Amino acid sequence: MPIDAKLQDIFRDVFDDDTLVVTPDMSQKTFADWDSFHQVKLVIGIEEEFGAKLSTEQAISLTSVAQIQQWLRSQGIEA
Amino acid sequence: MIFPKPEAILDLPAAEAAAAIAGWKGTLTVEAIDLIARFAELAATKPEFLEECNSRLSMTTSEGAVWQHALLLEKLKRPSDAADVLHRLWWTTEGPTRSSLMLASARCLLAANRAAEAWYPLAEAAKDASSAKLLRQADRLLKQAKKKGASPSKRQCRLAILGNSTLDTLAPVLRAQCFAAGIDLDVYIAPFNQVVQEIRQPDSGLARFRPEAVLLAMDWRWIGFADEEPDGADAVRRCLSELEGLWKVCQDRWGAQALQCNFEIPADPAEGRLSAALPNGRGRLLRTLNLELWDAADRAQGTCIVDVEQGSAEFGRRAWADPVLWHVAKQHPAAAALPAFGEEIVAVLRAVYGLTAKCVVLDLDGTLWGGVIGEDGLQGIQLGGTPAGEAFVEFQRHLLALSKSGVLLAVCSKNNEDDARQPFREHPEIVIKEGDIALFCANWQAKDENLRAIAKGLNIGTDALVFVDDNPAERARIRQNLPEVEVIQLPSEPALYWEALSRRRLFDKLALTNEDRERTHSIQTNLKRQQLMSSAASDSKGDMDEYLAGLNLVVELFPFDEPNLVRICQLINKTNQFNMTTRRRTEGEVRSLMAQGWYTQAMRVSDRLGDSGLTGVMLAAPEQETLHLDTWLMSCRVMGRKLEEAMFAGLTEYARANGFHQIRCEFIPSPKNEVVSKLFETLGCMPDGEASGSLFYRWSTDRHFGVPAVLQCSDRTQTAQAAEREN
Repeated sequence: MPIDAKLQDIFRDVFDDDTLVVTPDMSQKTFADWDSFHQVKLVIGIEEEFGAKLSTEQAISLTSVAQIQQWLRSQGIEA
Repeated sequence: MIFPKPEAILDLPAAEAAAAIAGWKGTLTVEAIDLIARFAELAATKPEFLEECNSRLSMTTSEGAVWQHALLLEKLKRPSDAADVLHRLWWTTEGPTRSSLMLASARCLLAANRAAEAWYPLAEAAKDASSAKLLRQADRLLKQAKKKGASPSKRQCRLAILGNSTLDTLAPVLRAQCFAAGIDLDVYIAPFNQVVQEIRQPDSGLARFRPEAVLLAMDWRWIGFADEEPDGADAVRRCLSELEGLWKVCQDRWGAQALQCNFEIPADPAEGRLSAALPNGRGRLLRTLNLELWDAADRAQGTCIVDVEQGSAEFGRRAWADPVLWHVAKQHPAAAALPAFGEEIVAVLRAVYGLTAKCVVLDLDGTLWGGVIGEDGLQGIQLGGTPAGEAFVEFQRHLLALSKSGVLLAVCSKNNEDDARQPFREHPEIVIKEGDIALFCANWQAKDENLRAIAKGLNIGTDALVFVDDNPAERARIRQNLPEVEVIQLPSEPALYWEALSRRRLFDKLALTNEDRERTHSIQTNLKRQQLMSSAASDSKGDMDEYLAGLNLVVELFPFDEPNLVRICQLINKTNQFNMTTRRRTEGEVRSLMAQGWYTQAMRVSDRLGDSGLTGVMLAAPEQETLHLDTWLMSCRVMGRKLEEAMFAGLTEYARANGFHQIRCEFIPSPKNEVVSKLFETLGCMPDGEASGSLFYRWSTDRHFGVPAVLQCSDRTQTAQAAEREN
């Protein structure tokens, strides 16, 4: 599953790294910088970019790129 | 009409793809720009396609094609060319895409190592940004730009932010907004919910940061009012005294300005409307507390209120909070509300640092009334009477109120002067009268030339002007020729003119001084004075003293005092021309210099034409046998009346009487203070070397400097401060 440019931009913005290449196997477990503060920034970035609102449960549990992609697809957004 | 879908044209021959893009005639939207960026992204994977597509777009002029051309150039690693292409759209683009344009421009300029050119688009991007996302992008580019060159901001501020929510998300938004307002912001975010500890503990992160301003951004949860308090009055009192205590620490320890957010009234109270009706209901107590805070801040001197109550209501209280992210991460206000929150804070910082706009320059036809006076005549223009005419009357009412608070109004219209003046003299529904207009400029010259003339006539910089014109071509012209002028994007609907002007928050003041209320009148009498003066100069003798003597000038010199401190700091932060060192200081800083025994002198002037008010300021530091003249400035409105001699006489007399051997006078050249570059020499001071951008001059106190005979001068700085020094 290729990574959507928008999702990539969100990650670059959140982690303040213009060269970051996002892969589906990236997750909170494999990526040390991905702490709870970055998680909030990710949630905010996703909500802003795709105009969707995450539930409390999702905001906490969407902690890997694959999960985020899956959730976006469930919202009818190709990413 | 939707922009061609990238996936749909990507597999076409490059010539056809380029034709589809160039043939698109729709209005450029943010969504279309997304598609353009996506196409560039995809095309980058096919080098030959990219190359050919790009060359075929190079001759087209439609907005969408220009954008696409620029973004393809960027992918071809030609950022400098991409920036030049985008630059063609700089002056004319308005609306929601302007911010995107400016961000893309700044990005390309930075990639092309043209950082010095990136400051303008970065400021413009932040000015027009409608979302936190765009402001964050601006902030990231700003960080890159600062690595390559010094920021051109007029002021710097070390701001600490404390609160009971996750405020880290506010920092990038606020930095970008501050940059657009001319403030280079250095932010410290205190740890979550450590407000009291951070302020009171001597070794806290806040103490190490040494803030110049402290933003207390707690929300209503921090106070902990119950839905219904047992003793509401007592609860309000306790909260107030706690906050007052914190402000005092900020002031005493760091000379820092406390910026206190007042409290939003939470949406959906359990008691419904009774929350405001019950004597001890939370809604009522928060409203009471907010009112009390305004008074307490006024008493505390040096504390400013950030009006979150008003800002959250304007934004929408339900949208201000995000219950999900509050529970997940203590995010408050909601991410979407951060720009609105930031605007409230910037409005206060602008006022603290004297960066508020000074003059609104108004077009007439289509701006102050509907129609064209020169063609439609007095009866034909729309002003009052009809719904459309009422909107113009309403706009004028707001402008009039603005002028009563000290913002000057000027007219700049392409018209015959007699036609232009007629509605002000004869139309029954006109609200703004000729007497409310500081300078009236109706002719057929280019408006940028007229704006320069208006700034010169009012003795202010063009960067203090706000341009209001319904004609987009005039707006583009001003942006291109005077980029420092604030150009308002006036909507096509006159009923929304005021909102468009007001929401840029260019005019907020900390307090209204008498000088503010009298400003237009005082400018007009000053223009009269200048006429008298030039006629005196053209008389056979050209005797300036005679003219000055005829004015009956009365000068009063006195030490700084509390009631005048707001005005004094206004001058310190705004005066550009007659300003020897252009050192800016907050009220807190000035107060602390007063406490350290510095010589302070304020000057008040009046003459037979009127009262010019408090218009001169001096600050001098005692350094053993030397008195160091650190700050000396005078409002440009009173220049050319020998008043500087009266002020200097006051200073030299004080120095002599208090045993100082000499006065060390300092001059720091700036782009705007050329007019006083020779002042110290003219007064008879001796050049005394230079160091790090300052020129020094020496005055020996064994010499006497007299007050000019044409001035009637009283000086209270001698006795009062001499007595203080002895204590």
